Amino acid sequence: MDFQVIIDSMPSLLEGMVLTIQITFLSLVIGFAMAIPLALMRVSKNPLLWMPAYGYIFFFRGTPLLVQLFLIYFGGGQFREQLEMLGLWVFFREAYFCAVFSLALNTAGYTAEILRGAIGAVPTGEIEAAKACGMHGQLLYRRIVLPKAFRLAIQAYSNEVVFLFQATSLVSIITLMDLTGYARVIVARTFDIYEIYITAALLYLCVTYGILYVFKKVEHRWSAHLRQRDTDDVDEAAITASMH
Amino acid sequence: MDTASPAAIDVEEIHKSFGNVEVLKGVSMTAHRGDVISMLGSSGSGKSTFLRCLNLLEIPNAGTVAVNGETIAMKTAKNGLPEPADMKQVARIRTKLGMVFQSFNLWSHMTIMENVIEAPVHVLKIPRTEAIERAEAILHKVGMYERRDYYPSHTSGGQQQRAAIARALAMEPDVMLFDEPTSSLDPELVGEVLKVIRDLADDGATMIVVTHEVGFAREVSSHTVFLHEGRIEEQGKPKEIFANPSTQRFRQFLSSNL
Repeated sequence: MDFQVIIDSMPSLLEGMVLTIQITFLSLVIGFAMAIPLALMRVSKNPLLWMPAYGYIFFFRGTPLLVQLFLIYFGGGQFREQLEMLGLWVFFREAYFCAVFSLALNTAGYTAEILRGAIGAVPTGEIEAAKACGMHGQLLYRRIVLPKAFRLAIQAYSNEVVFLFQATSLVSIITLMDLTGYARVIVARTFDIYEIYITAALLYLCVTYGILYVFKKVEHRWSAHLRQRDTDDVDEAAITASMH
Repeated sequence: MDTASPAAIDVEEIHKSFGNVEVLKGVSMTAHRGDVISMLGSSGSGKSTFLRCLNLLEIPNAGTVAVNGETIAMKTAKNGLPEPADMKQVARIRTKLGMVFQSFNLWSHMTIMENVIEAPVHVLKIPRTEAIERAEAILHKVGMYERRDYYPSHTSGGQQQRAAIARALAMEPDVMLFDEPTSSLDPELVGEVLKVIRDLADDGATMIVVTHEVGFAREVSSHTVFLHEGRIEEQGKPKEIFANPSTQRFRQFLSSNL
């Protein structure tokens, strides 16, 4: 084990990690924003709404992310003229854009499916109670259905976030210098395969731990109603007195 | 009873089928302001379905529902079944009908207070501070003020049902609908919920109560309806019909439920 090479390559690897986190974050934000309307379309009874959403989710879950990435990055080049006409070539010629675009589309499909399941699991009685209070349509979804669905979805979604974070390593194949990209270049130069890749792996592991920690915090905050009540913040005596 | 103004609820000839099973075979009912109508019947008689038809949680196959003289407009959907013509009208009318469910159906991720102010703030658009003040008064009334910051799961069934009643009352409805409010409670918790309902009746609230509590129906209601196999088998003032049931079925029902 050559520790010197690890120390020497650390600045480059960390620089790669910055890009990895950036791409993960952007794809997640865009993907999640797309996933909500997709999931709502998917649970609709109107075939004009649920069928396109079904097709979308089926395609992006049913094909490898790497193929999707190639389709957008290399496939984009094949349609250069048309894309130039539409003024979109400036985006599609950038590997960075193609990476974020395909990762966002992919995670949108998975996230929509997670949300669909969660929306279906919201207790009917609580939805009926909301309707009985005069809620309907958007308000019903915004105030009751989605907040409950997010709570039901968060564990599965944390999985998706971790998966997407790991999956960003594929972008190194389309020339981006993310953490894996730097690792590959350094290995090609030094042949210290084991040292570099184990360091990269440990860096991925550290960030994954951070992601899981954040999700644990959010989940904890969202699940107060599922835990035993903390008794230190109430005056139990007052309550007992008022009960008699 | 106030007969000059339109009836609080006026229901004509409600029919409801689930698949091939006709659960309601033409049930009519009128509730005037201040009426407390109790609905009795063995399970499967259609009494809960009838109550759910009043605020269109179930869509009747035929018949009309009018609240304060306003008839809920229906149209025929593509599949040939009726559906509400205007969901906004239905939503508006639902705010006039406070519903209390057998299984409470409190929003489990919100505290009791949040449950009570949710609809006033977001449906009626009442300022939050005002809604909280109002909620505090109502929670006092149902004996849940001290538990206002608890989540429903941290309270007993009786407390949850009282909170659910507070949630319905916070909308200041014209009619309260109770769907077997004590049926999923432990026997020792039934009393506290019945007491709250009784207090509401004493305050002059208009209520329709579907219940298995025969004694409660006799003491509290101004009118009792006995449903059997989707039809009204017997109805009248509780004093009269409990003492002198005119149908065999109601007599049987009473003897097996006392």
